Amino acid sequence: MTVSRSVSEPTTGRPMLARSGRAVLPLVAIGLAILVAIVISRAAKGFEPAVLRFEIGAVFLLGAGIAVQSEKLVAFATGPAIVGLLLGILDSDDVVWGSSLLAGCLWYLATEAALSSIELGDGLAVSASVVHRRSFEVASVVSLAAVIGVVSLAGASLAPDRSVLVQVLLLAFVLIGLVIAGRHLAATSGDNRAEEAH
Amino acid sequence: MRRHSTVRLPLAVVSIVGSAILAVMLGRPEAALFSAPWAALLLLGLTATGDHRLRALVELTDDRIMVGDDVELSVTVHPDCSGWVEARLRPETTLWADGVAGVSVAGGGVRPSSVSQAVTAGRPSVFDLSLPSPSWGTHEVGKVELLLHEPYGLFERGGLVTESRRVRVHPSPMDLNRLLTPWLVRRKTGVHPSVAVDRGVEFADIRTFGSGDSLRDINWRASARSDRILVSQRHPERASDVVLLIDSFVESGHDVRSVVGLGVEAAVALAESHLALTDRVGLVELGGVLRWVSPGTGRLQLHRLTDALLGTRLYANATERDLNIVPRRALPPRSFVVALSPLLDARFIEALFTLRGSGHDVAVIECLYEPPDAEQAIDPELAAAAVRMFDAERSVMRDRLAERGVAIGQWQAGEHLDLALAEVVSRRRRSGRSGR
Repeated sequence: MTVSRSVSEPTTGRPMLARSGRAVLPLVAIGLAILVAIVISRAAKGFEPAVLRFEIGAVFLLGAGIAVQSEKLVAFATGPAIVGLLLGILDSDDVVWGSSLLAGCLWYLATEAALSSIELGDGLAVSASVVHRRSFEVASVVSLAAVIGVVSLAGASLAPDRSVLVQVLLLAFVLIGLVIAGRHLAATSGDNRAEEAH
Repeated sequence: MRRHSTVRLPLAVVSIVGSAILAVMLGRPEAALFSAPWAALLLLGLTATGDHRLRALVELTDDRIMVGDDVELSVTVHPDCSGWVEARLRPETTLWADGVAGVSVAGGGVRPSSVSQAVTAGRPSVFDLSLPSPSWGTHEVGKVELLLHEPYGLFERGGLVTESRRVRVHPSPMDLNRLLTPWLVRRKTGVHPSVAVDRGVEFADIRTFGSGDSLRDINWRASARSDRILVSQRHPERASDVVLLIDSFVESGHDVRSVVGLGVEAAVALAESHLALTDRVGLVELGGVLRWVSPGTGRLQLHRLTDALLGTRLYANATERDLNIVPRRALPPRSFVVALSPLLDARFIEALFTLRGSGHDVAVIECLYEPPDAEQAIDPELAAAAVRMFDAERSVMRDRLAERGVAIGQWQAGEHLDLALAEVVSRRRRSGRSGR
């Protein structure tokens, strides 16, 4: 059988991500997490000390997760980040759509950088193509998040902010989306079980 | 291949649900935008997910390598979805020098035994993996762990490719400048001088010209000094049957692996050299198992012998059989037996006496082992006395073998085999047995 090699992936001389390149990921993750803390705490007024504590806690959990190579610990860091954001928003009289979206995107980037630094751990030779693909995927997610933010902002402008209608719409949207996702997962996990039986 | 979700999936779900509920409870819907990226990730990831398959083919770049060379494999992966794949080679034997992924080599480069690479649906991708050089022998390699990261990282599909491949690691080649000359030869033309007198190169004798003698054989110088015509007689070159006898007994309490390794290295070198001289070379392994390869010639015979030597295994129990069951074609009469052994096991030594008694020409390359340090013993004086007694017994054993015409050359790791061969040649010459 003739095997054709991918044109963009030469078999020899394939550029590999140097170890120094991979060492940047944890630094990027921590840096972005700190940036999130700054963004949220600047939006808060009276609760600033409490907000800062939660955000520092989130940064610490993220850093600890990277240090011990624990994906679960990195995931848990999102909890205090959300709580800190809520405290910051509660304290503000203005509607802070922009700050929420910005903080959310930055926190997502920090989490992705942390998880990637764990996945592309020591001993794994990583090709530049993997970096390109992951960068494209992250950029796609952030772009779609921005679109969601714009759509939400447009939808909220049709109704008074913080109205019951907006809240109900939000909850309904989330629930419908989760039901669809759940059904899709159930369908694919059924294929998985069939494969295991074989 | 088994599919499972990564931490991103529950993280996305919990972020979305949690922020949405909190936003509704606190009356601040903008708080839900914090999880907008996770909603986007879920949307993109779930639309890209599906029942993806991954097929892989493992191939060895070279199934015969030398000690010091790396084992190189190429894994061709056929995905039916885009994403990125992690291929990790699992060394399955304890003989590897270092089984950890990514070994630094001289020069600072890192040879990968785990590689990740982006893949595109429907296009095969090749992963080049390598493992550090194992010790000599036959090794099974090729168990490759594959992990397919589906688009957007929500799911992974992992499995083990168990196509094993056999790689034969040859010991380092040795160029021998000296060979053992057998006393007994066959009738076939070769390079060893025979005791007979016939056409050949090496000078044997002079006699008077007789009818039927060729004019080319006339020795003009000798004839000029005498009053008759004299012809030169020569020893014809003949080939021989060489049988390599390997000792693989393990119940000797020493570092068996290294000593048997010495024997295998020497056997490969001797086999190559004698086969190059058109001798027939065979092999008999006596120890954990009794195996043999009948003598033969040519490149194919070298491969048979090498494969048999590389397949030498060390067994805790020894065979109860002796050389009597070895057929004549494997141990031909009048063959030259070269034994490679540490001479520690009485059964092997007894086999040497048996071979000598049955008329074989026998020589021994004694593979020296590292004796235990008497200073480290609980009672150093007693240990030193035991070592002296042991050395004395071995000296007596060597003398007994020498009396029966078995020459022994000692070979230690780190020395060239030529030294041991020279010692054997010298002892055979002194023993008074002429090779002619």
